[in-house]
Amino acid sequence: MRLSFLKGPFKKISESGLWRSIFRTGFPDTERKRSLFVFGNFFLHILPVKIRKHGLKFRYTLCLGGIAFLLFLILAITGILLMFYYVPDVNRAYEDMKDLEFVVSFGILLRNLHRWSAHAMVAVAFLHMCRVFYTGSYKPPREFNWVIGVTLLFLTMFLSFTGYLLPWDQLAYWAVTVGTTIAGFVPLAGGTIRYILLGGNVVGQGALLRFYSLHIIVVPLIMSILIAVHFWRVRKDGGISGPL
Amino acid sequence: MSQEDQNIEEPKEKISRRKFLLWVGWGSLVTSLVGSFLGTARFLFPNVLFEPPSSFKVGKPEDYAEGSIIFSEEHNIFILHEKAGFRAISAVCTHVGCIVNWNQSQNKFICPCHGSTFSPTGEVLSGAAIGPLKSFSIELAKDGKLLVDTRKTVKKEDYFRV
Repeated sequence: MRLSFLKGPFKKISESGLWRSIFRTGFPDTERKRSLFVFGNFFLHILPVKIRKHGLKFRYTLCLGGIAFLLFLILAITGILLMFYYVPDVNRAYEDMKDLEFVVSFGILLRNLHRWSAHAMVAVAFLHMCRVFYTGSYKPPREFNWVIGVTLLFLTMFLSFTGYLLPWDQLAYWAVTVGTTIAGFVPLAGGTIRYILLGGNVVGQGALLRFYSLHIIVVPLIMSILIAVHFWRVRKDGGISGPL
Repeated sequence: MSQEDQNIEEPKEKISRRKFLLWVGWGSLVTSLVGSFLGTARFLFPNVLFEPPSSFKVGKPEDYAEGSIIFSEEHNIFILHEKAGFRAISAVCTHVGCIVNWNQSQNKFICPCHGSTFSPTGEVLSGAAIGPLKSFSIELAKDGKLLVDTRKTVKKEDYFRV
């Protein structure tokens, strides 16, 4: 091995007390130690210790699930940054959004990263669902993970819907007027759903604040938990599905 | 055995201390959880709304010439003044809530969103909407102005006469 000269110093570090207190396993020079290294690391435990050869094929998964997760991370980071400049007040929201575009340094970049990633996430989550369908990966023992996946798709769409109101422009206002009117047509509970969603009868301050809260904490939190379960189940249901 | 002893009935099923405490424990846990859930649900329904008032004045009857249809952007209603009297027609499309426009040349209301059309009295002529535009009650306030109440709707043949 060309990098074998690194083995000596790395071995020394990896057997030091400090290293062992953090990583437990020593220098991962056996199969067993390599497995334990991945198992014992919080950030790596989501990865499989071993993977089937076909699972690495780009053309099998097209990386769609991974891309969807990457977009979720981009949205979380850019979203937090946008929150530093945006106030969900009907008198300020539109101007804050315009300030992000024209006044704040790199604001337009972050806003558009957030915006385009959001659009892309809906498309990629949908395409991921198509891939899972066409490879038959929804079949037992993965049937419950398919259900979690459908829930994640709906939550992605709900995040899109709640985020759509936040710029507080004409497009946002009328899209949410139409959307919540549709929600009002639900049999029996329609009026109640609309009232609770808008925090009133019209799209106003109550609606903006509720959509903001749902958008920045409620839905992302539920989604994070479901994403964790989704990944965990991929491992527990026997890793990535095999070719048909 | 005396008569008295036979009359004393033993309880058929004695509730043990363990069972009693279990019921009390689970009962109070479930009650507190259901209570906090219901309280949280109720909390989400606001009691005071900071919204436009549901009844408002739209000026004096003389402000509206006979045969005119005037749109009020503030209240999203059309005030019609016909021979039969006044009508206050909601501009909110009954399909999904867009604001309809009055088209004078075609003599009908047209919704810009999905193309629903309504007659001057608010009846559906075509399009996605299935219900007629709402007509609100009109009264004459003490100061001689027209008072529209959006909480009360009137039938299509009801006109307000001054």
